[in-house]
Amino acid sequence: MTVPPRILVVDDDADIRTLLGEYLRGHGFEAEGACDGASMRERLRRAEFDLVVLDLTLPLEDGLDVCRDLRTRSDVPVIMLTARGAPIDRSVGLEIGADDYVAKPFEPRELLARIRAVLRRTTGKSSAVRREATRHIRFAAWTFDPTARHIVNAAGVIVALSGSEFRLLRAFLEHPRQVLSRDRLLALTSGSDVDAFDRSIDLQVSRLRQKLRDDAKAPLLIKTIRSEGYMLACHVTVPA
Amino acid sequence: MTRFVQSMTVRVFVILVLGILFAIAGTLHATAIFHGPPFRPTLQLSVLGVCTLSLAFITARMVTRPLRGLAGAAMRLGRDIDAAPLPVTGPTEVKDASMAFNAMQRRIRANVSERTGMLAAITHDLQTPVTRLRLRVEKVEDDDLRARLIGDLASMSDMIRDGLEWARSIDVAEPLGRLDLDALLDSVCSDAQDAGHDVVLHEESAAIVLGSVSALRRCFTNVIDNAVAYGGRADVSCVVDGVRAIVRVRDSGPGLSDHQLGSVFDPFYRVEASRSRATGGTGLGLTITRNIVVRHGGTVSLRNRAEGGLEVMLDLPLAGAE
Repeated sequence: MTVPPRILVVDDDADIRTLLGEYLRGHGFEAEGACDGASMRERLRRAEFDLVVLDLTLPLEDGLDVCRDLRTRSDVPVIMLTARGAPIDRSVGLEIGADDYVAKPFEPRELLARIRAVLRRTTGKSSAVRREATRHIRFAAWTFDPTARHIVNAAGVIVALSGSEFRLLRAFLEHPRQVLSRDRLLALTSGSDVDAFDRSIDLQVSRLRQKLRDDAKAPLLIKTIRSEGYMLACHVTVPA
Repeated sequence: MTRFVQSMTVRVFVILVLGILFAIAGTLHATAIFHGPPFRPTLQLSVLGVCTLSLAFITARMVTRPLRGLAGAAMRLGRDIDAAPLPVTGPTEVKDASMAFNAMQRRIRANVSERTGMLAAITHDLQTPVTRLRLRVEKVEDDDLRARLIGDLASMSDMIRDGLEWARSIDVAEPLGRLDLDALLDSVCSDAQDAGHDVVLHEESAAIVLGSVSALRRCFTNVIDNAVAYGGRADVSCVVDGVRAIVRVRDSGPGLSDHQLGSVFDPFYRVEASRSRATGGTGLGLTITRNIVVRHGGTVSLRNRAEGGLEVMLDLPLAGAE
């Protein structure tokens, strides 16, 4: 049996720390709590954690500062908890090095799914490498903004993506020029939207091709690799 | 207001003309008394008449110009509460009116921001207790009870979300970009289909509009969710008409009564108490939609279709068609 991942919950609300800790322990994690930035730093000094769940609204320090400071000393993945209806927080949070963001009040299952997804995504990657992934990514004539659910074409026109298109494109961009099987794509794209029906990967790919104006009969961007799966065939760059 | 200023201009003009004519008549009369034979200066009189009319016209325009400014400001205030204050210039009465107008605008702005700020603060502070409650519910052993509690908390979360979004739809200016409207509608429709709803996007328009992606996504999601909740399905289409894009969302429901058509945009208005419990609406969805559309320079209207069902029509200006 593998070692359960250790999660540090940083929230000034004692009940939320306790309740979230119990919930995570009930779902195969080890969990501890910290009430502020100082106590978080103290715990991180004394023990190894696999992930930090950090509330953005701490009483003495700004959660963003805590996260920024944490980044200067540690590569531990961070999921930010924050107020709903503040889309600006999301991009700011991801910019300063958080790995994901969940709005309060959250569905516990959703937080669980995000924790698992972040752990899967971040294993073995330094925070600097991970932060690259939150910058705007260029591929073919498109720019992809991982903090917003849209892409921008060469003329600067914003093309909105559905949730499933966004997750599929993100999976391709994280694995450029690699053949991804349908099962692999399914694993990479499921997770956060627990209630959604999953369309078949083939249907999702065909819809994404339409959005990218990629000809289904002779696709240049997302190629079909017979009996194996799909591959993003273009060059992907992260502008400095 | 504009009509009022026009009639003011006409009235000032008439009064001035009459006043000057009386003054001239008086002078002529006095001249006649003191200087014997009346003089008949047809040419001089008509020149004088033309001068009088022009002078009166110019004066009337000058006096009412600040009033026209006031009228324009009142029109702007209806659309944009943050419009710049009026310059305080002109005759004393007009200065007073402009100052009173600026004070009124400040008070309205303060009231609006207090109201939205209060709602935003309450909904914001509810997030922590609702989060706690949601985690506590996980400990409830009775499956049926737990499911019902989770359902109640989900509607509370929706109210919190809508309250914050309503506040944001009023006073947060989000960054604007050139948006592919077809792609936006397609993404909203796809998300609804993925959630298992009967939603179809029929026409594509190739329309590009200037707007905020997240705000317009919210706006169309609200309308389409309503169509699904009250009308069973949503048929969405988009066409370009001149310099505007027109989006229509039709459902197959019972439509609305005239009274309901007049009230559905009011905050917290629910079509029917019993049904809103079933569908879990907060009564803010359409208010948020309208605020967002108006902020984008568009309009939204509802009508019952002759074939049955409700049609929501949203129009937005195309980018570069100011």
